[in-house]
Amino acid sequence: MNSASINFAADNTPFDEPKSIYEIQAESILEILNKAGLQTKDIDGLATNGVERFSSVGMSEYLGIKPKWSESSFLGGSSYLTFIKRAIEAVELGYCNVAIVSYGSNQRSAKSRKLGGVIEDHTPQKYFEYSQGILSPLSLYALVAQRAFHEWEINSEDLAEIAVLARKHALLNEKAFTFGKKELSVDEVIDSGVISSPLHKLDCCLVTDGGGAVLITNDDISKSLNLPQIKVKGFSQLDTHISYSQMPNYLITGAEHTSKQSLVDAKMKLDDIDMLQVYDSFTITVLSTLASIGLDQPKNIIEKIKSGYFSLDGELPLNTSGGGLSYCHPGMLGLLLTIEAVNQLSNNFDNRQIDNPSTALIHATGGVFSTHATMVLEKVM
Amino acid sequence: MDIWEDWLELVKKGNFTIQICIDCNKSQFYPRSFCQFCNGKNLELVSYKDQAHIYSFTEILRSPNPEKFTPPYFIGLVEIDNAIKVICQLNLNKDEISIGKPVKFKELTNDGIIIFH
Repeated sequence: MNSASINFAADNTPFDEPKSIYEIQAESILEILNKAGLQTKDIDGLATNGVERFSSVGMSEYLGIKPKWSESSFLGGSSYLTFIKRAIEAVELGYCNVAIVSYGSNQRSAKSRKLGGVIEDHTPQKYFEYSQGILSPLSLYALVAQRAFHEWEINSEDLAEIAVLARKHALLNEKAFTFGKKELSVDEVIDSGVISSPLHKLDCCLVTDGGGAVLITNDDISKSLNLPQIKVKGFSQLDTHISYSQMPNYLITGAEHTSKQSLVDAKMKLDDIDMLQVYDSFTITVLSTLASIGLDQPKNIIEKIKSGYFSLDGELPLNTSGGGLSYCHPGMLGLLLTIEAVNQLSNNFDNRQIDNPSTALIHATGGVFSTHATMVLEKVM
Repeated sequence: MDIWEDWLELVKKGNFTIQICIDCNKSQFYPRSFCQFCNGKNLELVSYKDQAHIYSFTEILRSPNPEKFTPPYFIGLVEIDNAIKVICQLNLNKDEISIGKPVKFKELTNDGIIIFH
């Protein structure tokens, strides 16, 4: 059996100059191949989705490659954590040696996102849920938030702290959509206006273009090219529902299982983790996920945000790119969470670098807390 | 898909029904062709028995489809018989809506909107 590692990762946020989905991905792919001293002809495995019906095949054709391994499962926002784990396994099993996991979206410039969501006529969601007049997925997260207000005794000001923290980090990220803007205040989040109560405009992630790519190679190759190695030490996936009415628990999600299982897989404890990158489609997504991971009681998590626990120089830095709330949200964020973790682990940043991290825990979710994947990364010293 | 069209037609007549499994006595919603718990096929559509209450709610202030929906209106996540959740519209005033409040099925509109009040 071979061993495999993540070597490089790059993001790409062409906000000012709209590009096609293929071009966004190709730009990041070429950037990391170039860094590694490789070319597109060296790629023999590729995972992507959301490009077209034949997503991986279409992207491969654009790159001019004929991969021996490909993957295009659709799991929404968590897809790309699963893809990276599958790519590592594919290299370990010898199906391929140089794998790319890439994603791109031009949803903002192409105006392809609709407030009512994507409705497929033959599905139970269409019959029983979309027909009711929900904003999808916003209203469904709003229902979680309203329930959390009731059970966890939190309020809109508490959730706003999550958006305030995200903006702080994004202001240090020159690729962020909100880079160059100013810090947010809790009042500004509240004053941004309710869209689906209790969630305000600034409780919601951005709708932007963007994408990126991750390079995964056989360790024999990365050693011969003297590439950095980051290991996937732990991974766990759980799909719980797609119709909202079937969600098993509205506050504690599948993240409870996947975070625990991924740490068991990594033979680590939460205390061993140096940073968290968790999906932030909405402010409530972060609070619910951190509570599900078992970090603390929800009210204490809010207090920790206020006290700087999750800041770049805090105990456990969180969403250091500014996340979907303030950096970039091109429809699915999972790959970008991973790219940020890889670059932090590689000490690649100047102004938002956290202090010499060796481990990261990434959690991504898709749908409305429907799919879950947690990954634990560790850099090889 | 017929099972869902049939359900809509039935509920339009005035009774909100859920599937009960005759073999294991568990209930499920939305309707399926088999029992997801015991895999039996002896399912019966019955009106819900005990009570329904608001599990969560949201006020919609921006329309997902201006031709069909005019805000503001309330969406409810209603819990039925402590087992089943349903997304619906709540035909209630703002001050009448709170988590835990008992509600009753009012109607299923021709547009497929489930209304509790």
